[in-house]
Amino acid sequence: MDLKKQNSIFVDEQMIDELSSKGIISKSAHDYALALLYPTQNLGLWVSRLLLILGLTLSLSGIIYFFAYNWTKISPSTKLYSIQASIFLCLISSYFYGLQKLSGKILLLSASVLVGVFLAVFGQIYQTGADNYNLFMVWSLLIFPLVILSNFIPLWLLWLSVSNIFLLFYWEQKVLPSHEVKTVIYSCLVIFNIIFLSLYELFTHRGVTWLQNQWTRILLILIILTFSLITPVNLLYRSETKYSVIFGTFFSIIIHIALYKIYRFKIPCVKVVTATLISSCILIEIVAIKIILFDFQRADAIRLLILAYLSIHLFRFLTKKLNIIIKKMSNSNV
Amino acid sequence: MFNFTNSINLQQLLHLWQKDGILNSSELEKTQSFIENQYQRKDIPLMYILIGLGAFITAFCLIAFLVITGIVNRSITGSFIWSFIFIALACFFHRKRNCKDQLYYNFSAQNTFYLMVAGKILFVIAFSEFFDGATNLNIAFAISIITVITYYIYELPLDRFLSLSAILFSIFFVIIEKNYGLLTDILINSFFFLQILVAALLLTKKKVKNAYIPLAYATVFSLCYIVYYFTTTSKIGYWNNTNIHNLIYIKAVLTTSLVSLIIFVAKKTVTKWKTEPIILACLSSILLGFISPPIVILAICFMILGYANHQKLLLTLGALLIPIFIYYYYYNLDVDLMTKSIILMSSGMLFIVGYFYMKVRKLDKEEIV
Repeated sequence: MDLKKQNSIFVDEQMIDELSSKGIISKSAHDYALALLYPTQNLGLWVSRLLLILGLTLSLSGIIYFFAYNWTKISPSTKLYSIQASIFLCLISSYFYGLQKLSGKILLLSASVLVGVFLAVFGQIYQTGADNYNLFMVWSLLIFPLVILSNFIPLWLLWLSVSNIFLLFYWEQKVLPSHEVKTVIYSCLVIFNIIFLSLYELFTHRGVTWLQNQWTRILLILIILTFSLITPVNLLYRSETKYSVIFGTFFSIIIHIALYKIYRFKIPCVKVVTATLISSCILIEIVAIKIILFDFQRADAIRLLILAYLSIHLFRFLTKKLNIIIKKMSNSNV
Repeated sequence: MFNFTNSINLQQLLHLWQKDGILNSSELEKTQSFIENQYQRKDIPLMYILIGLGAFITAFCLIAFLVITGIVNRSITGSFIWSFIFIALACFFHRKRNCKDQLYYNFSAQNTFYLMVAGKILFVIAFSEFFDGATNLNIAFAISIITVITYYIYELPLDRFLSLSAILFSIFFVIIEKNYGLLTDILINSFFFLQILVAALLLTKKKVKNAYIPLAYATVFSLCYIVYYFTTTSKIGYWNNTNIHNLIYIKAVLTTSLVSLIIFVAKKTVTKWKTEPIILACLSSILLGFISPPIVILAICFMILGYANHQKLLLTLGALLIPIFIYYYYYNLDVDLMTKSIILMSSGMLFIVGYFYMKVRKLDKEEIV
């Protein structure tokens, strides 16, 4: 086995146990390897972090329950001032700790969340009659400067979530789309999130250090794929198919092809290719069900058999293809 | 927080084994060739999602075809016959699957799984109808009988896990169906204690036969449900309601389990376990047993067990139980939020005190290997 391959294989307990059970390595080699993998000195650190996380989670939940119990008894001004004080405290503490430290970033994240809480409480106290999209729009605008300063992915993801929710509510409550074009928003959300994915890839390529982790890309891809599948799913629920749904389905197909091409050849990533292929299977199945079955309640038995036959071959073909792709990409150490 | 393993690749491990004289050169070569073969045949976990999705759609279409065409009819005898046909087909194809083609092997396994599920469901329906209706007792008997018959013939872990979980849940529902006062309490507590014993035995033993691993996890999920049930229907706040159960016994069992686990892990990982931190941990666990809801104690047991046995599933389950519990705790249990708040905050404070104790005593220092 060449060194490159040896470097790419990571050892785990299952592998060591299997080597030992087959008599390939001795018990002392087995124990030695496990001691390397799981050093006992980490136990103290693990326990202390477990205690901290459990303690904070239960204590904070208790505080929330306390406020919930006393909510009607607390005056509106106390409610607003206490939240404002919390935001201020988080911002000051974040400045004090500095944004280079994780604790500073988490405090900034907490402040951003509390901004949303403040707006919700404000809306509850002063019954302005404003639509939900207003809350998310203002929240998104207010925390944007903090997001830019933070260089912190969870805060960016919070901002992205709030913005997506704003766009959804805006479409439903302000634009008031007709039945014909109701699903167009999902294609818009796909484009919106692709812009951020592109920015992520651009800055990662330029070597921005705080972006260098794969799970952000995978999370963004999953969001894009989820939004791109919502419109095709409507094919199954509408007796007469709207043009917007057909357009959305074609758009979804293009997105899937584009993502596959980019993450297979340009920016190789096995997990993204796998997620895209799984999503493509779902998409193809939806289209197949729509074409073959037409109507669920009066499904013709032969059509079900045809669909079963097609599904077997489709999934077998895609699974084989994925297996080959993953092997090729693994050999290139992707 | 949960990533406490060192990341070592094969080349590093082989080099260390050789450097320290643990393995000689022929043993190293054998190890390399074995891992090379295993690694090439290793499945990518995400593939299972794809295969499972395809198998689900295929099986659904096939079974729907059989039902719509009336091939599978609804008489009791017909249901029994078709259930046995499905189960027999599942077992037959499972045995005949092509082990050389790994992909088709997995695809066949998934397809036979859905045949087996359809067969078992038909059997349970037929059995229940034969014995005057779908009562909890009939369902429990039916699932138990069919699981016992197929357990060693159809060896898919997922099927075993689901069948065993169904048995445990159905037995629990039989016990709580009618309230016989003290007898119901005795039955529930005995059932709970038995499951704790089974889980403890299977999860703490180093080598467990593959056939019993699904039983371990089925017991884990059953315990989660029972403790959740107790947490939401306990006697706190329901002092005059005789339908509700006492928490004392279950908390005592869980606290004892937690203390035993702490000692078990301490013996496994450190040379001297009768030290002040371990003793304090045991005493704190006993205090936790008094003030904390039982589901918190269970979650900690899972997390400790998951860490000790390097099982991410148990670790994750324990971590997930806490927020799920906090969410449902808000709405269930007829005591005011102030009481709930006090219970949560006292438990939380205990943990934070423990954290600061470890910090002050410098017991949390990580040494780099």
